[in-house]
Amino acid sequence: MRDAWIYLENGTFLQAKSFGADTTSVGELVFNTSMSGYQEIMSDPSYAGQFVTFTAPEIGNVGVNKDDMESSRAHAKGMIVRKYQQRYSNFRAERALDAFLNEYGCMGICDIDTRYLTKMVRSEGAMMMVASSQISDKEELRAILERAPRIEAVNYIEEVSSKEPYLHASGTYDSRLFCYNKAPASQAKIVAIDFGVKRNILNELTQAGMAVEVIPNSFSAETLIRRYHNKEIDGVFLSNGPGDPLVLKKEQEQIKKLIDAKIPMFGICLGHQLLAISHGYETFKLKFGHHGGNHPVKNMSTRRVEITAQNHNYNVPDTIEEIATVTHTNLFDNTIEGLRYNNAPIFSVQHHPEASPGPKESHYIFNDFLNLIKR
Amino acid sequence: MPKRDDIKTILLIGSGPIVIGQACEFDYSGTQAVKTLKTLGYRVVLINSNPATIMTDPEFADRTYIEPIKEEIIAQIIEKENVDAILPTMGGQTALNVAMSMHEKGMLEGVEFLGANPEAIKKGEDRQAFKEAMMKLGMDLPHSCYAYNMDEALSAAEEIGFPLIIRASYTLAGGGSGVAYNIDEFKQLAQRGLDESPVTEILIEESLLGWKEYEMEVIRDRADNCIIVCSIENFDPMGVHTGDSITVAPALTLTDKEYQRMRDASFEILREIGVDTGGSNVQFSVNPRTGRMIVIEMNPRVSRSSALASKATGYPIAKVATLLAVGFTLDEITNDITGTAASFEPVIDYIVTKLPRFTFEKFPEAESTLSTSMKSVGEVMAIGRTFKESMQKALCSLETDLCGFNPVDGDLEFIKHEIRRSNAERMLYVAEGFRRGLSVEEIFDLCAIDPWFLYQIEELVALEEHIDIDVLNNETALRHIKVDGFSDKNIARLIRKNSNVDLSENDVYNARKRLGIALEYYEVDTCAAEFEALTPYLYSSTNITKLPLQQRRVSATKKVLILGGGPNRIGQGIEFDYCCVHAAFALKDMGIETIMYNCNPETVSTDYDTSDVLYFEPIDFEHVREVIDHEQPDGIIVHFGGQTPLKLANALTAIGANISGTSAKVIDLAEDREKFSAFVEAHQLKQPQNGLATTKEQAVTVAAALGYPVLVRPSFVLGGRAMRIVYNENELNSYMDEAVSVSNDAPVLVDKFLDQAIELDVDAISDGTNVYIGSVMQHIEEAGIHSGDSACSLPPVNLSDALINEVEQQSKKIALGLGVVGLMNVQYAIFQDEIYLIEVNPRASRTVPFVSKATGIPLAKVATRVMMGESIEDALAFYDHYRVVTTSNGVLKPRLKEHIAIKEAVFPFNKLYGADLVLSPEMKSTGEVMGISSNFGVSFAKSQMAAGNIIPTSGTCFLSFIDMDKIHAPEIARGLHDNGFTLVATGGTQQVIEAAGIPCERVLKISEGRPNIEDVMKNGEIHMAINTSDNNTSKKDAVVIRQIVLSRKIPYFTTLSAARATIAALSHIGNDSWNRPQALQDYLN
Repeated sequence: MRDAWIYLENGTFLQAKSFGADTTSVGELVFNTSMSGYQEIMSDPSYAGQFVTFTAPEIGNVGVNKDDMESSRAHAKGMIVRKYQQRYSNFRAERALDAFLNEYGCMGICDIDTRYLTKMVRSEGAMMMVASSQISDKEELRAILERAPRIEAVNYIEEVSSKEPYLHASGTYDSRLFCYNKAPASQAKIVAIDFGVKRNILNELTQAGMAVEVIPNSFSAETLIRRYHNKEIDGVFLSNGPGDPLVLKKEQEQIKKLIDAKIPMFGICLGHQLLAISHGYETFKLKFGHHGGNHPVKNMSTRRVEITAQNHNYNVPDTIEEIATVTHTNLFDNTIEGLRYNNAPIFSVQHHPEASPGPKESHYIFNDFLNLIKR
Repeated sequence: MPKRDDIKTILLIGSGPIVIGQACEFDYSGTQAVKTLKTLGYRVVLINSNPATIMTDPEFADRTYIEPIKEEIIAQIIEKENVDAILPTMGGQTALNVAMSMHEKGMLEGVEFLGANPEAIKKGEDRQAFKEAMMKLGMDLPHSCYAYNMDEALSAAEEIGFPLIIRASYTLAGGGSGVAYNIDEFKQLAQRGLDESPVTEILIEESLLGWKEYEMEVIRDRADNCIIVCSIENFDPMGVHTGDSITVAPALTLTDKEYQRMRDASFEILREIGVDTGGSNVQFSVNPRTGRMIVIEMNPRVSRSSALASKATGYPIAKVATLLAVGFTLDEITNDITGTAASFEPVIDYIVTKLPRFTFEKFPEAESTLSTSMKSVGEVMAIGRTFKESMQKALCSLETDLCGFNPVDGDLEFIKHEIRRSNAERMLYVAEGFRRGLSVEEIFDLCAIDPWFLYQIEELVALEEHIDIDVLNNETALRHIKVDGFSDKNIARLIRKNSNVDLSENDVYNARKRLGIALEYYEVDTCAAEFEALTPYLYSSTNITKLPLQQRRVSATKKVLILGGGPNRIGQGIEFDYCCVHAAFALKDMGIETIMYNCNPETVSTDYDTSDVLYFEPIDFEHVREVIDHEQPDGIIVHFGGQTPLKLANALTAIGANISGTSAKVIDLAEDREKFSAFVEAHQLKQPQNGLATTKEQAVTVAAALGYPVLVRPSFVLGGRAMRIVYNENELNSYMDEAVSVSNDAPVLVDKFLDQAIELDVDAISDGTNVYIGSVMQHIEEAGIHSGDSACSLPPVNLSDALINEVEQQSKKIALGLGVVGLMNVQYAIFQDEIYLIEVNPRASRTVPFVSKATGIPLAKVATRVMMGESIEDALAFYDHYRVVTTSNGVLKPRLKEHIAIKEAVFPFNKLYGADLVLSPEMKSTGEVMGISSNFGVSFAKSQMAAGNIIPTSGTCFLSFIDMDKIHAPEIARGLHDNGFTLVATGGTQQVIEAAGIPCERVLKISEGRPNIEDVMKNGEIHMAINTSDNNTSKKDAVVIRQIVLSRKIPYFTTLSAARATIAALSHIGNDSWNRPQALQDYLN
């Protein structure tokens, strides 16, 4: 394996090994505590611009296969793992993780103390970093990091959103037959605005009984409003996606119009944040975010705890309770995980009910959306 | 919902003695449960027959019954204590079975089940009900069929096809289960299963041999909140009982989609079975080629796996399950480790490896191939940052002289054979296979262990070649080697081999320190560092990244390190963990910071809230030393964990470590035969005459000089390994030929054997000036049976005061003469009214918990204070809650109350098929029980009942004595006859009895024709058997007889003294009220 070096904006400089792409790359350092699903995480567009430190100790064990993709490619800048396993063992595996990362120019950093990095992010917050398998000089890396734009300054949405509208045609994965379900007959038609949507969100919407048309982030609210009034669509879904929602001014403008037009809407993660911002409640940045598959979230109406998949660095402020009801709360830090707007057919969740990877008990939320738009 | 107020008194049922399949994990869970319920303000009543448990300490429960876990006794306790509810899910299969049986008989009217209701237990435990529930859910199951007799079994076998799994219903640890490849094996297993199942039911199942096996540890509350605490993957594929499998957490070869499928299925299963408030374990099997997932079974209670999962993640399953059982929901509970919500799923950033610990060396006749019936007696757990490190640390933890993947001997065919055969050392043969050039594919074809694990072992073996003298000067190389978990000792071994230089473990340690490579410590924190850990539960790892070395941990107060006992095994089990836990409690009472060190996941000692700091590490010199470097403790207690820590005393002293209490020099003096003999002489004590032999001829000469019988054993062995009594030269010759390899380094010790002597055990504490005689116990079995296997009585039954006084005086002389500071155990033999010193151990003994329970003075706690420098008087005063300490005869001792306590040993013969149940100087018992009452006979009967050897009050008793014992036959026969038993005996014995005028029928030996003793036993005509034996009897009928009594559970006694005690019991147990339970608190107050 090649040597690799990482330099963090707090001055930390560490040597490690690398797999995947032989390159130099700048991104934001976050950690994810999921114990399974590295392929889904690496192909989740929400991680665009980030280096993901995996706290799971052994990575690569189950290789990579085509069914576990959450989009068409790897999106994160790179992955940082304690131990990389080139040799894999799983009946669905098709190739090694290394080959997958290589294909998309994505870096893998391994043989490094991930617990040290995790604790650093825990105490100092998410930070910018540079990794290289080519440059070993600390000063040179520092210069590269300083020249590079910070994550907030980059609009990754433009990179990851689809360029053309398309119809999504697949249901969820059948883990007995090891294939995707065909789309069931649709009971409603929706538009999903793609800010970097995870495939399984579309699968879940479809499986719940919605015909899903995916459209780019450069959408026009007027068109959607017209189509809604013509009963061509029953509702709008706002997807997850990477980066800071506050920089997405253009999208916020359009969403405001949709809100004013009383169109039924449902948002997940970035979509949830954009809805809040568009209602006038600016998101704030969490110290190190929520990334993993084990956070307890309380459903405030059923009083039940759902173990959820999480991936966000930003959060909606508590003041939004002025206009919305909190439907879900994170039991770790009491942050808002779900909202139902008081005078609008709109609700949203911060966590990831589509899981993939992660626990699936929140996927009833997709049916909630169908029920909302069928009304 | 907060705690329930409608229940006040809760009965907790323990799991009884340590047996294969049920070990200290239920003391761990039960202790957590008692503590939790008490904190909530409930009145807790506890029943457990095992005195070596923390849970039965009188200060834990409000009312503690050390009584046999039997229906009629529990019923009496429920009535007497006004019990509102029972918690049967903390005491393993024992508790669950007794509660279910009582429920079905209507004995629990008005008593609520907590944790799991009877319907759920039935659905989870009854295989047919479980199968129906799974089919309702649409879960995939192996093809299977029930049988209640041999005919049904045979037709089921035909239908399903070989290989087949046979499982007996309602047995623990898969007792009565096995894999059959052909019809002969099948018939044998089916019969055994039908015999062992209390309901004569077996399940015959499609074999899933070679499939992958997983376990999910699940918790569910009354609001239907469900969490997975931990996933566990078995290294060994299906076909080996999970208790005997190497297991790893987390699961390593599942994608998220497969993992979530298993997670969802686990929750669905708990819902369907109806486990509303507690922890369960669900086992799955996955076809490695197709991914087909099958549900194997579920346990609606805490288990060995849940203890492992708790230790592996830091999440206290038993405590949380207890809270849920009394009304809380998960979101109302806080995670102690992080202070955040407990309603989450733990995540870990390390790999946990569990290795089972076997003791086949003690049962050479037992079948050593692993199968679906559990055979291991203990386990170790190791934590590392990678599988490689974790696995190699686990191998070091086992204490089977391994320092990693040590090489094994044998030609390639043999190596392949042992890779194919599931056995205790298969992982070593796998590594050896790679050394001999086998490929991953070839090894996989032999054993079906997942290739991922094989890759890791292959890589470790490949690295071995590169471990040469140069790595000691190469920081990068040596770090890499340490990161993969190679121990210093193993590195030294490999350098010696590869570079042909003389090198010790210490040289590797010094090289590491020079290069700045140290073991460093990481928290087990339930959350992979997402939150700060509040409780220091630590493991070591070598960091792959070169960072500034961790600062050593500084404490504000004095701190003491307690070294634990490692894996449970025969000779060293829960008793030693009990002592270590007591040391921690006593230090806490003194305001001293406690640091616990152990590698056994089943134990109370490794509960994170037993001590202030917990190190989960192999108990070997390297790992202990590194912790000492890191902690710099003010004292180290090596005397409480059995031989494991004790044997490190010298090495630790040599590096300047501060051993508390009795010094390494004293330990050495007591263990060194020559030095000790000199000591004995100087103090005018008496030892059986003895000698040393390094050749067969020498042994014969020595034995002749001493006179037969003699006791022979190899030097430097523990737990009575290969110790034997030989009665003549022939036996001695064959012993020297078969049993031992003798050399100048390992001579054979030959002692004059004191035949028919009475053996005594004394536990004492000394502060160097005064001595407290904790107890004088009289063994029921005569000298020659290992003290751990012998029943014993406290107080002695029939010794004169003068003799006891003399024993006390001698014990005092020894303690003060040796310079013991802390605990000491002495064994004496009384032979022809003379006192002989057999053995002195300046450490905690196996009997410490028993004595503590019986007398009310917690010996290990008192000893801990003494070891910290307090006077024995002050230390006793601190713990003398029952005001029993008195001074007479120049020693301190407990004033004995009216009760008599009997300790009886419990044996694994029914689990180790083929093993013979003869007692000898080699210890074979796995656990113990206590019987207590105001009368010797009743206490003995209770102890037998608790051990599963229920003495009948009438019927036919079979007698067979070896020639030497025949003169005692009339006495025994008369006792039985007077109590109304019909007697039958084999030829010689029958003649002796008849001649004495006692009616006794002759029964034929097996060789004498039919119907013979085998037939009448199988026909259920024998209700009790007394059969004495010597070295030769194992070759005769006795073997068959012993196997029948085992499988038919016929009460069985093998010594004259046990027979006498039984007769003493008979006159008391005739009426119904003999076994009236009484709480320990009542006995002591």
